Amino acid sequence: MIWVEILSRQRDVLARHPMVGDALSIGRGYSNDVVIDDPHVAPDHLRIRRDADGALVAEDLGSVNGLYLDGGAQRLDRVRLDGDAPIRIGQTLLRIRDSSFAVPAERPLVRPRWPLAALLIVIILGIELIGAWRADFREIKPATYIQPVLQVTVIVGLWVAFWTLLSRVIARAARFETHLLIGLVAMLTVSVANEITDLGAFALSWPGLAEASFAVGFIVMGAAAFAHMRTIGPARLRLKLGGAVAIPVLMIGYHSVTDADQQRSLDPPAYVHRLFPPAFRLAPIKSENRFLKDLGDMKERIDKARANDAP
Amino acid sequence: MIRRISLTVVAALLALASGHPATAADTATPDQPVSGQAAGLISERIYDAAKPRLLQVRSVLASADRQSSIGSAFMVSADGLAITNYHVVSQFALEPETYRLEYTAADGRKGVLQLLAVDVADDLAVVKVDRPAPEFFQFDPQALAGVLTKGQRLYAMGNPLDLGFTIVDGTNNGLVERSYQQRIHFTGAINPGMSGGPAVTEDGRIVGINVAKELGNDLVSFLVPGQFAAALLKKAADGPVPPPESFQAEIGRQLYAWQDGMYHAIAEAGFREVDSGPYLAPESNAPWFTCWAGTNENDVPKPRAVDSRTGCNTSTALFVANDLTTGLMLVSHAHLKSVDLNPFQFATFAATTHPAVGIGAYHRKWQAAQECHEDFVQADPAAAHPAVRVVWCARPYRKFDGLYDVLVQAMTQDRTGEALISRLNLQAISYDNALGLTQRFLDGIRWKP
Repeated sequence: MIWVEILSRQRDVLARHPMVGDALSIGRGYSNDVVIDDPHVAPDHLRIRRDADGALVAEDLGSVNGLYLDGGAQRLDRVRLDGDAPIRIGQTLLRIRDSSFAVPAERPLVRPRWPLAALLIVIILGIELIGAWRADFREIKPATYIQPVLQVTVIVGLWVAFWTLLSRVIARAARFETHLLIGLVAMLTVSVANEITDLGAFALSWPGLAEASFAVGFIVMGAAAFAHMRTIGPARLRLKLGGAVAIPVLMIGYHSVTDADQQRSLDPPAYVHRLFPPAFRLAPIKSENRFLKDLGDMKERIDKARANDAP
Repeated sequence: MIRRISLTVVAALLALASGHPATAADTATPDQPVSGQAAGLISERIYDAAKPRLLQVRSVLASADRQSSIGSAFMVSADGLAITNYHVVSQFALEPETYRLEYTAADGRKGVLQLLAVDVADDLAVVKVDRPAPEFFQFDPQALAGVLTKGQRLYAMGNPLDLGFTIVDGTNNGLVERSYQQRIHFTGAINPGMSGGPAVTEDGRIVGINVAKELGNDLVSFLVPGQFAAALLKKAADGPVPPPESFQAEIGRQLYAWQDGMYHAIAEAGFREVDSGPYLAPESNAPWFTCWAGTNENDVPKPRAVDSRTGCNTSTALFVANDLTTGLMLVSHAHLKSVDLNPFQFATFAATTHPAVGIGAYHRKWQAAQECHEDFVQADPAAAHPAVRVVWCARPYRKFDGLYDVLVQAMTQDRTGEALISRLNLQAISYDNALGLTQRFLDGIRWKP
């Protein structure tokens, strides 16, 4: 028996036709064994038969739009079918498998992942609450603690809802649990990275580190977007990877440009905005002379910037 | 806060002029020691003599042929030299291609003024009219010798609010106390537009030049002592006529020399140590600092960390342009002590309530972007000084070479729930002077023995 499968763009099976015999024909015409409603498919487009070795072969019957391997740019008259690589006629993807095709072994049932999700949620909210408490030097008010929790919940909620919906529309499966886990891991990464860059900026007396923390956010966002897109479907992974790289590159580029503009017009000082207890200092304590020498060396840089920023 | 009185914004002029009720002057006139009639006679005589010697000075936007600011001036020599304030002619001095200087005499005659000399520190300028002046003012010899009689009656003249030439009487109250910039405190109604006009004795001799008034207070006005005007006049009369484009560089040189003088005087006066919790903090010994203190201790809701601040500043203000006043030095210390904050909350409290900003207003026209450097620093010997976190920022002036606005902020790092945050602001200072004062400042932050 030969199975003809019509695939979606996400390579999911849309229809599956079992055919008895060693040959069959595919086309738009009703004389065919498998009829395909694609205007770019010829009335008699393709014939499937077995060659001398018994392997399945697809042959173009002289169509205008031809026969291609999935993703291939080279038009082929004849394709040997291995049962894995789909072929394309017109705008339709087909996969043809022999009844002897070996499917992979059964995958054991995955244990429910919601305990992991719950744990991540607790950790993320915990970080937010500790952050709010650590910065709370004013009169103690519930809003101080509710607001950051609400904020992170809304951000993760909207993000996960967006990808779940996209997944449902494109792949016809919501895969909520997976999208939720991806969103939570991304959020956790951003929170932890922000803490580390802020702490590092203070500990090392390196304001640039805190300034760069926005870049971490965009990189994590790109990586998460890639994971979401891969969950939606395995097709066009390279394109998706490109998107995942483009997001942080474009956002960081845009941010840098606007930042530079702002620096010129508003003159915001570049200094460490968040302080920590003295015990977190890692940078060595400089002698006053060494510090004054550093300041002296700075003069050249300041004067150069002044000369370059001519009105 | 002292505000300049040149009329720089026409809208302000109109608003002031239309909101000025004619009857207010009558009802506000206080009883005077001299009988009204006698005082009136003296004023009349002085004004009659002074009238042909007074000028109104207009800064005219050349492209529109309209005035953009107004002040006054007075003749001081037969060949047409007159004295006014630097701030009256500052637009022309800095941007001679955009503005020109014109005068209107009391008899209505108009003409073009030539700028001969400026003295930014004392806010003076010498200009020359395009015709000889048969009548002109003489300086009061006592004022030239620096002798000022408190209580002496003075008569200030000028053209306030473009309402016409005016004479007002008031009292000489001597030099302003504890001020680096020498100014005569004049109790009299000086108003915008009278800047650069003369203040004379009863026999019509110059004691000072109208320069500023205190906003929001009554009749507190300031005069530049006449001796500075006489000195500048001598310089202008002896020297060649400088081209208008040369003044910007000259102003830069004067600002540089001025800061050198002031900051050297401050360095020479030395620093004293003031108590600030377990620390000693440096304050200048120089007499012309104004100091203040404040605390949040009794705030509601009860503060979770006590923040007691004290600060001193020189109250110096150099008018350079309408949007640039500079020359201030400020030293402040805040002693922070946690009441019930943990070390993290205390650090956030310090960072939020004392951000390392405030180097002064930023005008891109005048200053380029600032650069900061921060480090953990400990002065020698380590046994006497706590480690401090220092943020040091400098912002160069675009048009005046070698001048910077500098901010130094140091926070002690030896305790978790208590800190001293000391701060030094230096406006329009040379890099070397800034480094020198930074060193003195950091050396002054010590543990109380």
